[in-house]
Amino acid sequence: MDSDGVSRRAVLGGVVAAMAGGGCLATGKSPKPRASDWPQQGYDAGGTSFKSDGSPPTAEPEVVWNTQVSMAYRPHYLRFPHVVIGNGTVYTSGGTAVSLDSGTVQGQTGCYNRCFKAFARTESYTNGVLIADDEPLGLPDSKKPSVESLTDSIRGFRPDIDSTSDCTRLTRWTAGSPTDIEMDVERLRVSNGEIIATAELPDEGERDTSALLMGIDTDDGAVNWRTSLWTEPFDLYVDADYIYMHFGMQMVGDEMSADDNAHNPYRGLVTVLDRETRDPVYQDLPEESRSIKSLRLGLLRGARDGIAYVLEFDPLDKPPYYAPILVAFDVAAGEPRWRVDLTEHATYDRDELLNNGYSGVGPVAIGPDKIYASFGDKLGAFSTTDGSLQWLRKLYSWNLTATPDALYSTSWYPEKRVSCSDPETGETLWSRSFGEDVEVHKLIVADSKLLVPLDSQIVALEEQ
Amino acid sequence: MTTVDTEQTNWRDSILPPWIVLGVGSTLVGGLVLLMVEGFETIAVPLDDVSRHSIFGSISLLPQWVDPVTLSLEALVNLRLSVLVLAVSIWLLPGMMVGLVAGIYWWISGSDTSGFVPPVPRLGWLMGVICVLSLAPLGFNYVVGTDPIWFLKEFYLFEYLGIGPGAVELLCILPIALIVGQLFVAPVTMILDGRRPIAAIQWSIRSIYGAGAMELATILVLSLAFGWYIVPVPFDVIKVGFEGTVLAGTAVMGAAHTVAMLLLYNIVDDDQTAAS
Repeated sequence: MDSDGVSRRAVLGGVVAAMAGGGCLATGKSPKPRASDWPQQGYDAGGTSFKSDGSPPTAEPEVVWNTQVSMAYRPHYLRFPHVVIGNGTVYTSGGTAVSLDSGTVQGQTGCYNRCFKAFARTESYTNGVLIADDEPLGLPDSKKPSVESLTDSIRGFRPDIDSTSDCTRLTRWTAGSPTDIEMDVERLRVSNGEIIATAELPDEGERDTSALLMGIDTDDGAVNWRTSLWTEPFDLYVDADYIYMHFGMQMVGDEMSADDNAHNPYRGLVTVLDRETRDPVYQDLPEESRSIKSLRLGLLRGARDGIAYVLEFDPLDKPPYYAPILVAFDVAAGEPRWRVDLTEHATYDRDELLNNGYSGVGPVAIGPDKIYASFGDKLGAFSTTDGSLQWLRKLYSWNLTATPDALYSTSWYPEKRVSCSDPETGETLWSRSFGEDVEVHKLIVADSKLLVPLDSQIVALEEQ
Repeated sequence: MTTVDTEQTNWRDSILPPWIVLGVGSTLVGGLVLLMVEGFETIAVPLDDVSRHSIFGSISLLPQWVDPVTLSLEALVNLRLSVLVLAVSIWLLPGMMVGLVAGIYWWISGSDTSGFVPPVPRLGWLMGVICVLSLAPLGFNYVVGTDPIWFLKEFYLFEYLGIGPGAVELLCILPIALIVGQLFVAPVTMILDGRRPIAAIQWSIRSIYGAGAMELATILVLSLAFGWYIVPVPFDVIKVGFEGTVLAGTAVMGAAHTVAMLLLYNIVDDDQTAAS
């Protein structure tokens, strides 16, 4: 943590605050997001895929617009092209800006190889900020820019994209402002006015840590705090009180294979830091875990309200190194709140699934009362209080988006469909096919609409 | 100069020698720049890192500050009005301080001036010019769509002729230094002779040309630009950090720039006096 920066800021910032009339502008409060913003309030830093705002279709919807867009894919996340929404505009990972109301293309940014990762409302700016990192996108050569002068870092972009927009004119800040920091960004989450990111700093040759965790202001890109990590985490989740990281494990089916996991000695370790102090929260660690301040919990799938939801580490330590056992780990208590063996509820042929590059446990969506999980051939809902099964239905699903009134999923077997289920009963409210030739990506809830991103188009559904 | 004037000047110098005013004032400017950076951080408005900027951007009419940062138009667009007003005000403060320090130094170095502070209207005009010059690049960017330096570097004629941005810089640096050199003593005459901006510019061009000091003015401008450009380097090497670079660099280069302007003014003013 940069304690020098804090004290300097305290002294000099106080003078300026006095100059600014009592510093009434630096309130520390983030403006309230709109129902159309995506990812949702708090920008879903916990990876919950649950959105409480908005009224998307629960009855048979109609297509209100269908627009061709430029969509780019990351090698590591082939299934998840990023789409973010702010100020009533949909920004695709390929740089297209589309009106949420009408589906009209508003512009195409020149930032082709920058992926808009999040949209954040800001105190200083009326229209918020688009946040992008440096991870390369899989774009056809014809769409790659001829000149790319920007260094690797996290950047904040003006969201007002028009047909003349280029990267330089859109860039509002580079992380580290006022002194730019070049960094290899590993993971990035946005939570209430702050970007929490893990990165490597290529220019700091003298440092003896392999990764850093940083808090970056969404308004101006200033680094509010930084702390070193003993190794680079594979994934990162954040809620109001904690920062959750897991190390050394990657889902089977993505680029990193089970073999890669096998060679990683940190597989299955989960570290939780206090959000305010950035200190590890586990107090009574086994002796072998004290130096790394982590517990070998398994694969972290999301976090909400101080509970880490993990797939339990495989006691046999065999690929994929986690078992189809869902555990709700209570961070404050330092022990599991409940544990559910998913194989008791689904038809599993784990070897066959693994051979097909599927781990057997698909996505989860975490609401305040229920956690929805896709596993084996089933989609189920469990109580977040005690893990009790609420309902179960047969559905091969590969992504979930939940709201208080609807659970949206895309299924791939026996046919590709988008379905809407009653979150209380699991009963199908409606479903729709978009054809077998297209991939349906992460479903997006935006106020009254459900957006269905396909390979190179977005379809907006609204209740009739 | 009368005996009374000489006595007043000696008395003033014994109380507050000009070099002390300049040294302390320039260091204060550096401190104000640091406060400005903190101010922008407090109101959460980003500043651009220009520590790798070109010598082209270091050509300046007035003393400036070691500026590893600058305010870009992109940081101002869509700001809430109250924050915008505050940001622009904070941005202008160091420039105003530069004008104040330089103005006082020129005034108390003048042989036929009295007191420590120039007349307020003269300072006011100088401040006005500084504000216009400080905001002009942002205004240009707003209207044209790119900042002046990039506009020149990417001018379609150069592009048509296949001249790259680096070559444009080499080609244009001398003509721009020549133009700025002709205006180099205009701010000084505004303070010492009370000329208004347009008259000061006309006087500067005429008297530098008349004194045959065009080459000297151009060399001074280029030397100072080079100084502003390289001054952060040694500080970076000896690891004094951002604050040390801004404070020491601004004090040294700000003082040098202010003195150079007065030296050239004295040369061309003496020539004008002799000619008349």
